[in-house]
Amino acid sequence: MKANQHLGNALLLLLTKHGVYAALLTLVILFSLANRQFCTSDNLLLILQQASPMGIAVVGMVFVLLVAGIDISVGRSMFLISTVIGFLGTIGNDVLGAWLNHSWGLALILGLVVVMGGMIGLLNGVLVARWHMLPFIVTLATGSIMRGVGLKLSGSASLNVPPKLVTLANGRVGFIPIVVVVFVVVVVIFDYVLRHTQYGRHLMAIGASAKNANRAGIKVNRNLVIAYVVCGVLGAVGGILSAGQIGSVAAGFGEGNEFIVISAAVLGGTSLFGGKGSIFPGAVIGIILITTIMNGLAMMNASPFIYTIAKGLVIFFAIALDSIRYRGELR
Amino acid sequence: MANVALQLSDVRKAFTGVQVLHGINLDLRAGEALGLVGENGAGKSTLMNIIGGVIAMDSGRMSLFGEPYDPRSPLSATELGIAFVHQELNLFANLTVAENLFIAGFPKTWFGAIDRRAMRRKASECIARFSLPVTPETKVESLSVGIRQMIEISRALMRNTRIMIFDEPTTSLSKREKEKLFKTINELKERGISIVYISHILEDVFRLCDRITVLRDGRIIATAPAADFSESQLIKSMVGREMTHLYPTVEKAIGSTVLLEASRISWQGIVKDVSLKIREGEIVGIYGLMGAGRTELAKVLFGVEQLDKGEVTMNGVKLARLSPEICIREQAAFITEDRFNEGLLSTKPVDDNLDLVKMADLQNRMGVVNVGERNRLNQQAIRDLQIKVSDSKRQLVNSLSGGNQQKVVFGKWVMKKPRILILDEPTRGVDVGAKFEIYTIILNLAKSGSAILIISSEIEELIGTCDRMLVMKHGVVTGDMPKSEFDREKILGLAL
Repeated sequence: MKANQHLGNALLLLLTKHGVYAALLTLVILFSLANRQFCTSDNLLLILQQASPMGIAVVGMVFVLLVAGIDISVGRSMFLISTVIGFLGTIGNDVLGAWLNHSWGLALILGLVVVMGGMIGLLNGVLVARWHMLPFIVTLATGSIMRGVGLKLSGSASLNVPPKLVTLANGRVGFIPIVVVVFVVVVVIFDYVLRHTQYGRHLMAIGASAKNANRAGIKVNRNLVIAYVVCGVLGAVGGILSAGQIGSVAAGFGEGNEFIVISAAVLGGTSLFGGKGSIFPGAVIGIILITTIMNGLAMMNASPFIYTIAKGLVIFFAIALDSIRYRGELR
Repeated sequence: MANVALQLSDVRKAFTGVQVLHGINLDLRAGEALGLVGENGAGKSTLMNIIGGVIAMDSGRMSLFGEPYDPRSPLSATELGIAFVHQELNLFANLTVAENLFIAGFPKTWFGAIDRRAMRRKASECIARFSLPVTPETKVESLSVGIRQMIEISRALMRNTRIMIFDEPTTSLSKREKEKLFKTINELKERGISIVYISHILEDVFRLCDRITVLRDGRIIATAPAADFSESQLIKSMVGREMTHLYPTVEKAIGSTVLLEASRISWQGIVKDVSLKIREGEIVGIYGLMGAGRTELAKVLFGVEQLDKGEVTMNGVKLARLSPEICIREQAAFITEDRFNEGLLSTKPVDDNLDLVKMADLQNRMGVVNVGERNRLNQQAIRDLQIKVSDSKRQLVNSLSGGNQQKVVFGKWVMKKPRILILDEPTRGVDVGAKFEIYTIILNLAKSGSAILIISSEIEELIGTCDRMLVMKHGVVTGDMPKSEFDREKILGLAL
């Protein structure tokens, strides 16, 4: 019976390394069989369009996960920032409303989003790096505060986002959705940063051993803070694009997004233990896999409860894979 | 004196009122290898940490090539040309060789990205100089400890290092890797780099060093050319007493009952068809080179790894399934070679470590632990094993010296009075005096009827303590001899 163990180990390793591709392929085939509309170019483009906003956030999350951190405030910062934008748009102040709908209003909105996201990331990063607080708890707390502030601001009513944003998030250049272009640009830039800059390599080193990194003269704290800022900014950008796709910010907007984002990163091979992971292909394939599941379930008219169960299962498998991979390769 | 690389005068250091270094005066000459020996707790680490900028001295002066030297951080020491090669290496396993070499400052292109081509070229030069069997793109996680160490040395050399401090560099090296390290150290000397070599393996210190300094209880006892010391003199000045015997003599008898028996066990092609029997009161040694499958054999015997074939019998009972839990129930114990990661809760006090295994027996029916009994047993263990600890309730295990840490690991299992004891490299990183005490503990356990299996890469140690010895090579037992037939040459021949 033990003779199979060798083969079993090899299979497990293969599965943990390339299982995501196998899973994606299997799902595409299954959904295509279940619904003829699934494997059409329209729907496949739709999947990419749906995946892009969260995908941008996943890229940021990879940075934080690489240094063995985590940011579970990302869904709630999406909510707060989108609420602020929606609030500014509907405040009734003609001047502000006019600004936001002016031709350069979009730049103003995105600028605001980036600044707010960056500040949230800075706060998380400083608390984690300088104050040595556990990232899980820090971001749980800041997330809760942000959600509270957002709800206070909106009075838990649904706010419309500025029309310019809706156009951006749903528009296309030729046949390609604009958000997909943004996603691709973000992936290219940050994948390059990770692979080809000293900062990126230092993140990997810190993730492997912060103690050794410190001894090697790497500025651990500064790099950590920057990682959280990147995560905050990209999370905010992803969030506002997601809000733009929907057209409004409801009270439940963004809830649970952090888990989609983290699972996507982990499914794509980024380790929660730090020091291992990639943006391309990792983060990209991870978010496409999750979006495919959601899209396929929708095409099959699955009950909304099934989504929650499916999300839970995805998180479970992502983390299980990570643990197996960790034991298999780092030890 | 001319050509002094590093000079220490009257360096003192105290930790919470305990004087650890009493006025150290030391000269390190340019291009020499200075051996630093002393028992664990003699103050070697503290001294090196001061030189390396990890901790600050209380008083005294240091000068580096004539300039006053007072490092504020490890980084400033590195920048001034002082490099450390520790037991635990300072490399990043998830990065490539080239990335590790340049981690502190990558060559960059005009717009700030890493210049991969320049990095590869420089790394290749570096690799070629030491003829390492790697490419710049090899990930460090796939390399052996010996090669990693060479990479770390190369990295230090790239930074224009003038002084290199080696702290127990050979503990996880194979024989061949060790030879290569020594060759490299000699080359470094020829290039004018000063070496401080810290080791418990006196044989190596004699081979490598020009001068030897002995440190005991925070004082320098002697500094003299290596040729002026004999091994026994050196040991005497380290321990502060005459060590007539390196191995204790304990009268014991070997019984007839077989306590541990393994028949034809195999695991993953690393352990092949190994059989052994250990009787009551018997000490059996396993000698083999790195990678011979010794550690793996121990892990299989204790159920840490599941064996593929064969069977294990403990106390006459054939065990259908092996797991550490089942083995502990059979009153077996396993002391691993990696005490830092596997054997100790290093950030817990000594007491909490000592009673870890025994705890289950100390609780009453309600699950409440008998604290009085626990304290009595802990104190007894500290006394019996002569663990040097001032406050066992508060002092953390990682603040103890290596030898004392190992004694805590022993204490943990000895309190349980194991019938079967498996030891993997029980004296790694432990000084002469503490070694003697650990051998005494082992022999006394055997006297009280335990069956003991010792795995070691030190032939002398096995010859000195075992009743029977097995030799392993490539996972197979190539020799099995009683004490009367022990012969260094023959054992080595079987292992090579």
